[in-house]
Amino acid sequence: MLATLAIGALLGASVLLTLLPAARPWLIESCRGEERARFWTRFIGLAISFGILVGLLYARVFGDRFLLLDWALEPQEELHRIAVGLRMALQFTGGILVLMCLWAAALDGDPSGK
Amino acid sequence: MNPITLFLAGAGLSMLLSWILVHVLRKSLVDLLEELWASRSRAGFWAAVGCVIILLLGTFGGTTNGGYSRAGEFTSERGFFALVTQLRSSLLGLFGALMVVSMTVMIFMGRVDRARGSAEQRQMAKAFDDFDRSKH
Repeated sequence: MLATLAIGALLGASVLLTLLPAARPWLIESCRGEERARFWTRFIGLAISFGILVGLLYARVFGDRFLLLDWALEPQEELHRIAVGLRMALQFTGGILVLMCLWAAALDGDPSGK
Repeated sequence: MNPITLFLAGAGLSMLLSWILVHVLRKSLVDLLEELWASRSRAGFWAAVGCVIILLLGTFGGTTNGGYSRAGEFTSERGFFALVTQLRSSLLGLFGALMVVSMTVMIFMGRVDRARGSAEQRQMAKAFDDFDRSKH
């Protein structure tokens, strides 16, 4: 469980450190305001962190059956759950990223400038 | 070796591979998008989105656990092939991510070029009209 959380934290930090510093200047330009940009930067950061956390916990806690009390698993069963958890976290993050891209594209308008 | 440690090492290695690819591509992607957008902040944001897509798909491929069967004893030979499967999936994910990013940039470049071309045509037509009007 700790290993899952550690690698999830690493993943979350990688995504957030790549995305948020670049998102802030763009949001200031697109939203036309420092305060709005701050809000949306925090919103994106929280949404991605939440997605990663839910994905990681989803498979470990609500796997094939409810295993909240059964923490002692065989290594290969534990590995299976870690893998599913990481994949769920990546899928949730990807889903949030796609939604964010659609929103960002709408905010930026037509790239051809029509 | 413990299968969990090996799996996490494989996932970490695939994340490292994704980071290397992101590091190699990022600057040229930002420059290319800046030329298209004519805005550093927009280019930076969309380049970061592209980098995150590469990072996510590469790591997603690297979390394949098909090689780590749940039945039977875990030997070092099985571990090696499981790790190879993980890295192979990671490379496939990275290739897919590269294709997605490059296709999107190509489509976008085509749209921008078309828009610039039609703007130039309009400008030339207007210049000809002005010239004709000045002659008459």
